[in-house]
Amino acid sequence: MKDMTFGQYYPADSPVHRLDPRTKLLFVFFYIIAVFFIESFLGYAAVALYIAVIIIASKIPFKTVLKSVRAVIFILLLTMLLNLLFYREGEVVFAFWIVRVTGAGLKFSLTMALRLILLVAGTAMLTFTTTPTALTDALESVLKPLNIFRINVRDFALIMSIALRFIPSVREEADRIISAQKARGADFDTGNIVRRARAMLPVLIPLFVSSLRRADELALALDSRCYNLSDKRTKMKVLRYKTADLGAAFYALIFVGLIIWDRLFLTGIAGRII
Amino acid sequence: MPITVKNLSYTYMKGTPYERAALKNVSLEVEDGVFLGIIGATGSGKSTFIKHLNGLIKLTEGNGGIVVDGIDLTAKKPDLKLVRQKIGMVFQYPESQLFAETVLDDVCYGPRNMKKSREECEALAKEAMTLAGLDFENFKGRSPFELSGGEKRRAAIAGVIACRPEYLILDEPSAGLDPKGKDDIYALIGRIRAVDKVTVVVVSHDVDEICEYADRIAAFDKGEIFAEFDAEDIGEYGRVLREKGLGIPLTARVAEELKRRGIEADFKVREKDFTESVLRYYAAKRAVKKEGGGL
Repeated sequence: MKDMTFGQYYPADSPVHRLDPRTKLLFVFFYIIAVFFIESFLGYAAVALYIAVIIIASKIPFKTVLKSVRAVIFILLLTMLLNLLFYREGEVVFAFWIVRVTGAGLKFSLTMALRLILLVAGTAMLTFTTTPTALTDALESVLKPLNIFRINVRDFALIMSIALRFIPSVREEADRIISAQKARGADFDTGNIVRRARAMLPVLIPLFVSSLRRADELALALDSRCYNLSDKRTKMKVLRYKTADLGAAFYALIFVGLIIWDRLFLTGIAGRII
Repeated sequence: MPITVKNLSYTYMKGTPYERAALKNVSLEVEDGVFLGIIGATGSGKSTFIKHLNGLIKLTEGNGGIVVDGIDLTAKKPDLKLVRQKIGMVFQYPESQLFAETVLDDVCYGPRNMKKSREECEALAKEAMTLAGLDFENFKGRSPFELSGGEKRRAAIAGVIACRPEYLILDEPSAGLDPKGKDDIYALIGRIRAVDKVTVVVVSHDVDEICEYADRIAAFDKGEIFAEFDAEDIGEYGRVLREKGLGIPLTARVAEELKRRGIEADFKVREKDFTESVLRYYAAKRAVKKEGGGL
């Protein structure tokens, strides 16, 4: 369990790490939408290059980023398979029994897979280069306008930072309980699915018990430090945009150019031929 | 047969920026029937070390070897089930592993995993609970979650000794308990040793506690064993133990202070023995005085 890389902050001193977390958050938001506008394979190659530039700038090894992509490989293969089997338009290039694979289906499933890989790589870059606290601060700041709808953004941000903060703690606790039950001869690795699920019960029950207790203690700690008594809260680290953030904004503009290029030239002319 | 550890090394999260050496070239022999205490400051590698002993942390090649009762853990596929049956492991705050509806059910979990019959399970549980100082009839039907802190911990330990281990390893067994709870735990360990001749390893940073009960002591610092000695000789290691943030027990400190004031004798370390050795010293002195007065 300790080898999970997806979403774990990777400490380094790089321009990407130093960017304002709001910049990175907005960038990723924009990126997630923008990736879906690209349609040609050449366009995806360009996006991959685009992400590669960010990875190099962030000083994070490619291997680490690839590992985070590997975490979703199962979903990736599953969507590819389903797309292949159920895409009905276009000419059939392969038929066997009730399976019919069309040329357009093949292209579509490949496109979706590429999108997924690029999405994961892009969003992973956000969590690799931003600490959870910075991310929560950014979220709070970006969502502030929602306050007019009487949504308490501050509480929302607190809930999120608590959730993020406790992921490693709960994981550690789970490791500890798994070790303890293994030492009593528990066997989590053999048998069918039902058996294995049942074998997890002696881990899940204590884990829930301790999580609830932890939540209680945390609520008391918040209360005893007068959380929520004052409306205005100040911040220890105030977020400020810097010149580098302007640079990042320009880099984001390049992506807009990419979309136009892809739409006008690649999908328009070359894309049709492929 | 003993547990033999040779040149054991371990690095956490190897190949990431969080990489940290937890154990460096540790060698140790745990002889049969001994009560070994492992002391060390927080983060000195004691807990990582004991996790290796029953294969919870896998040995990687070139990082040393462990042999438990003749089973080589460096082998390609060591029989971990057998090793875990031989070594009972009580982790820090073991009460967090309680899960079943009744104490009896929870204590039976280990024997059940060992594929024992229902009657055998219950017999083992009864024996274990009695050793742990939990009255079988009174406690068997109660929920483990409604017990007191000390009772919970003893119920959890009962769950481990119900597997009838030949070695019992306990990580900070008395942490967070009141003095009575602590005494109960060590009384329990004493009973298991008397009944089953179990070899016991206790990890703790409380030097007073360890010296009171253990025969041998291994002291850890920064992933290395820097001293290994008989508990009785701890007074000789005062300086080095203090340097590593550990210190020596109260009795040894009193003996040290007495020595500084010119009162030197063979003072023992365990509380009861210490009191007796001091009394004996003064009785002898008085006898000498009386003799002198007679002349």
